[in-house]
Amino acid sequence: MSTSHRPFLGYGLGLRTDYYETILSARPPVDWFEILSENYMVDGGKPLYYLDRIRADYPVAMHGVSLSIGGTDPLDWTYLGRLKSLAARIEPAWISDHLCWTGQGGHNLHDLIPLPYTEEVVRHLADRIRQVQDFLEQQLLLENVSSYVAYRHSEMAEWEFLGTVAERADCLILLDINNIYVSAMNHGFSPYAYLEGVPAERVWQHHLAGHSDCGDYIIDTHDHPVIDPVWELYAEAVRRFGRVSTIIERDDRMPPFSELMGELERTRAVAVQAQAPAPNAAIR
Amino acid sequence: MIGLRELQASFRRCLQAGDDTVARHLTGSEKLAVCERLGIYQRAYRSRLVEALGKDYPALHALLGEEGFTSLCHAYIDVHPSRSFSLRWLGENMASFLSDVDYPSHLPELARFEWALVEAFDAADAVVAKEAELATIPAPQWPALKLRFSPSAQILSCRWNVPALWRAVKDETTRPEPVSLSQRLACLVWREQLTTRYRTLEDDEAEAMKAAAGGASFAALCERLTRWHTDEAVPLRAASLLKRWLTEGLISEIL
Repeated sequence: MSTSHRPFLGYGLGLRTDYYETILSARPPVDWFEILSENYMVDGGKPLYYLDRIRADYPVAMHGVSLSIGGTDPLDWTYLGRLKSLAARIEPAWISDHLCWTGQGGHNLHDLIPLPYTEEVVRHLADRIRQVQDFLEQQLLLENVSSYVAYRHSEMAEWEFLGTVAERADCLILLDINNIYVSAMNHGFSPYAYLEGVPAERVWQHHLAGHSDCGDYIIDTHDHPVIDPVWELYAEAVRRFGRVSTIIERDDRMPPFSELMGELERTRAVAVQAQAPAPNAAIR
Repeated sequence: MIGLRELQASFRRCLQAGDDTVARHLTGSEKLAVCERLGIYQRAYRSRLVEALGKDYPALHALLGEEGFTSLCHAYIDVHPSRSFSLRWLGENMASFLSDVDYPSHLPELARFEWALVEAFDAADAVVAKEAELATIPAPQWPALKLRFSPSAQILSCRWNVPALWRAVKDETTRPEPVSLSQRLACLVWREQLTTRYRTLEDDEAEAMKAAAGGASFAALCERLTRWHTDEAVPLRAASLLKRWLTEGLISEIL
């Protein structure tokens, strides 16, 4: 598998039910949409009706939350079968999920829980990611999660772990800029060191989102606009990784669609400006 | 060093049962202690599941109130934690849970009704048979004719006025008192194209629909109707039921 030809889908949004009608009627200038895969792994009705119609007009990528790639329960082949069927139906640009675990003992906790950053876990992940990639017949993008706990026996920094897993499993990275910021604040590391530590050629997508500041910690709630420090971190990511497909995630306190379009414009502007050569570049 | 499986089992017990053994494997900071960090996950676990159940059971939520519904959900997820890749299925045991723990008997029935709406919402799509197809069927074939219903259709048997209770919550109008009905009420729930619908059925219609859905022929369906109608009136009633079912998008195939 190769990492060299990174496709660029442009600047998009997470597809949410609140905006189905607006999207279908207004055909807004959004470059692409990312869907939450599990919401469409149903037999029929509205979810698939809207997805098929929106897919007819826009590129789509699939983003899952229940793969539990870092889990220790066996891989759920029924789930993977449904994921593959959905992929066959909508032909996504790619399929992503999270570098975390989400359940144990047959129970789904429906949360993205971090892993200990150890060599043992890297091996465990590499084996499972390869099985999933073989089954889906494509590379997976795995996303860094926001975290609130750290494990005593971790042996490396999160970015080193992410990079090592990606190399070892030959998978790709969905780098969530807001999650880097949230985890950096909660654990006290430099978000810029994180960007430095990630293998650039494997980063195929970015997420941007807002969060809730609870004073002593930050929670990744996706219910506010993106804040300025995250925009600055995003600009740095663009300088480091180049043009990478980006979406804005919004999951609560849903604003009018026009507000999200405004944030999308800002995403584009920040990315374009970060890619522009510095004014004195030629003579430096 | 603790193995990954054991660590995850311990973390899960922390979220589900408040067992904080996992804390010894975690690090905190001056700003935020380990127990506070785990608290973020514990609160998120419960609130996410309660929120999902609230979307599936808005009327149950309204009848029990905020506190009552939340404590019901907490008790429910302790017994029925999610075992599916999607929260879509989390609430599937609510009606039986309410019966098992002795909630007033209109509540399990209301839960059954709300779950039927959830099921209809994303049931498999069906190509709907058109009324015009009836005209193409030669008269001698009518007695043997069979119907296939839309996968979304189901008939509930109500002992309480649950459709009225649900409707009042939905319309934000004054809720009637829960009333035990003198006679069971058949309620049909289905999806017509993208719209989830329900309506009550007359006894003869419920009987005819159950028979037809069970594979009975049109002749057998007419036979059932003789319990309510004279021989002369049966064909007319049967034809009008069939026409209504077709108009409402209930029939996916005429065999």
